[in-house]
Amino acid sequence: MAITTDSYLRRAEREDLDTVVAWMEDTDFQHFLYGDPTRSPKQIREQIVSMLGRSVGHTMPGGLYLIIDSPSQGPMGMISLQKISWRNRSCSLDFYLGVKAMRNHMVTAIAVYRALEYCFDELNLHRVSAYIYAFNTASWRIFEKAGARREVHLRNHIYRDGVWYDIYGYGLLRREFEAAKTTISRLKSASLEHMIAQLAEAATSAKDADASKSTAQSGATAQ
Amino acid sequence: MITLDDGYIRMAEPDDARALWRLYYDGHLRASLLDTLYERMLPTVDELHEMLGRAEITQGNLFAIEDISGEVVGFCNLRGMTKASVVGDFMLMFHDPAQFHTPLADSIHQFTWERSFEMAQRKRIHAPCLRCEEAFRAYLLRHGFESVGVQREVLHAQGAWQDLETFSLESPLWQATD
Repeated sequence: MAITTDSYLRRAEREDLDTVVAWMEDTDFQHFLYGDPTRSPKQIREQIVSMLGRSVGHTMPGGLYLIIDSPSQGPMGMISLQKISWRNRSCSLDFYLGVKAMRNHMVTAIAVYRALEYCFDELNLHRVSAYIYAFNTASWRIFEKAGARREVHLRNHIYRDGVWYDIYGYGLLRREFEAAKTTISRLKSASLEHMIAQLAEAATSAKDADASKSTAQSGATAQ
Repeated sequence: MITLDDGYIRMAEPDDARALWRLYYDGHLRASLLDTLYERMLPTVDELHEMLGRAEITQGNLFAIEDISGEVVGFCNLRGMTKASVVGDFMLMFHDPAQFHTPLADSIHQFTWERSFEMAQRKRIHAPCLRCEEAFRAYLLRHGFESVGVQREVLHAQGAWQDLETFSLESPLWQATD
């Protein structure tokens, strides 16, 4: 079954402020954030205002903020490209799904994929990094599917709600993304719809493989 | 000033600007001298002089290392805790990489241990190290640091991509109270 989406990425605007602040204030959403949980609502708001600030056209920005938007759903989340080094041609990428109902949907994978294409094909970057909570399996799986490698494992690194959490550091090089694109589909010349279908097919095949593996294992245990 | 084996350590001051400047221009790549974007900087002596005059940069963070003759032979940087955890950063630079194998360097490890784990009660310290910094890497391993991973091709310098390895040293004191 083909999955379709009308979602797209656009630069975050000042008008997105209230939407992004509302996401950030949601405690469920905050659980996945990397920043200091003691920040006040005012401080969060100020940070977002600075993120949405306009950059002068001829300067090379240190960060870019993209909204995952859709005509039918409205703004659903945000992808931030931060710590852009134009000398090393690298950046770090974070993504957040503010609309709970859309979490774990294919739309996230597609948006991240499109953002990575933007990083490598438009910004001409060489490397994209991401630090992700180890428990946030859905997020780091998306990165791995795009070809990223887990490079760093920081054990018991972040303390939240009485628990120490591990952090994974991922790195994706341009050549690895190119290889992943070739492996999972012929995306370069394909339409977005075709790409989505290919991704869905790849996910289903992986699920089927996992299911048959666990069936085989339980069969072996029964014997 | 604290007396170490074969030398001294003290907080860095503006007069150390020239000695610090030399580290940026001697042809050795050092992770400790990269900025937050992992970019190399080429500061002027004046800029370093001004930076070393700022108390928040130097006091309790950046230390000059002198040999027994009083010459500055390197610097040690112990940066503060991260916001949501209690991890410190450790950096050590010598003008001559051979210094990493001396008793002076070993006594700096003891100094770091006391300040990070006993005084500041950090959970662990991290040390960034470029793969080309072989002497520093050997020093870290000799003093119990363990690699937590290598970020590939993060820096383009001297005509090639450079990998950055992060080392970690856990505090046994923290584990006792965890």
